[in-house]
Amino acid sequence: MLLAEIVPTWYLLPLAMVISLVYSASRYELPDVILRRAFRLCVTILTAMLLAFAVLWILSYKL
Amino acid sequence: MTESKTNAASPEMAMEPHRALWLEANPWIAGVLAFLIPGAGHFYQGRWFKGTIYFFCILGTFLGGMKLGDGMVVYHKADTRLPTVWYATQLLTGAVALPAYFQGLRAAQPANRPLELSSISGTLTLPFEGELKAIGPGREGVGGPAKGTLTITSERTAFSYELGGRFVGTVGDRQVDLPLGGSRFLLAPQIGGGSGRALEVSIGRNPNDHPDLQRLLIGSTPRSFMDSFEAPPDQPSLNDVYRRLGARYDMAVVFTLIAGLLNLFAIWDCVEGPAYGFGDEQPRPAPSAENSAATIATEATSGNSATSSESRTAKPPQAVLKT
Repeated sequence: MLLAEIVPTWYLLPLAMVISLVYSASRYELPDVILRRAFRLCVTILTAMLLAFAVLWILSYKL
Repeated sequence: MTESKTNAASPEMAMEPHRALWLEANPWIAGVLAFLIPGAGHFYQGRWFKGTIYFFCILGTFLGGMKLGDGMVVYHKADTRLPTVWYATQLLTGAVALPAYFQGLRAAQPANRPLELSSISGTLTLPFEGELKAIGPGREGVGGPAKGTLTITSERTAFSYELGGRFVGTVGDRQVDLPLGGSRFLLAPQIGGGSGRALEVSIGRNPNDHPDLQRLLIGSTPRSFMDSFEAPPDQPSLNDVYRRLGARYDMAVVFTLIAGLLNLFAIWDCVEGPAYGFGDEQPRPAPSAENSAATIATEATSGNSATSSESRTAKPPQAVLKT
């Protein structure tokens, strides 16, 4: 069974990748620059979401 | 404008600057193509790499969202005067979301309503998949998953209509041939969201059954692609998809909305070019205060005001003169 079948949150992974690629493609023209910036943006998005998840998880501890 | 978009920063690049392909093609045609099919405008301009990214990423997100939401995510209800914000955003994805508008108009036609028993003329033969549900005393072991073919007729009685016909197929792993009866009949409209058309019929009474036992076939019959693709689902279908998919349905809606918004980036890039340039431009070194002062002094003495805008914006003249 796919991981996303269990927790729909996992769908955010491909979504973050797609957003990073399209956004970077709209900022730059050269393929290697697009890919490099897309990777950085994807890592940034996922880190931010992970941080938000950690904060919410701590705040909801023992609730 | 072409010059400002070419790269002449490094000596090698100055020898062979990048071509601003978006300036070499008709921006109107490119923009319309980019709207209709994500990436098509870039293909038209010869920007194959970016076109491929837009095509697969945006269409993949949109179609992935539709699949995730069982095809009931993108629709337009023609009873609202204007498209909803949701549909307007999905429509930004282009031609792939456009059929929803026309399906909404088709679905709003008066003829597209649930079929009633009195409207059946002749014999209606429908494939069925769903469940045989038994209600009341003696229901144990009667019901189960059902699959087969329904042959439905409508028989007029003194005051109303009664269901006739048969269900031939399987219930669980049993082969059955059940007579239909009673007056319970429900068949969802022909045009609507979802690949299945909700169907509910009552099974005729068996003399050996308990008098209060009721048996119903509840399920669906397949709907053609033309009648279901991006057609507006009715409320029971929406309730059903929410119940089955839960948060995945919301995620599916988000996918299609984001696809529409991302296509805005693609259209913009197609018409105006990349927002930050090619990406390998070298930043010019910031002028030091002494250099700036010297430059401004030279300008002042020579009376030449046509200096580069960069040196002027780097530091205001007054601030330089004070130092």
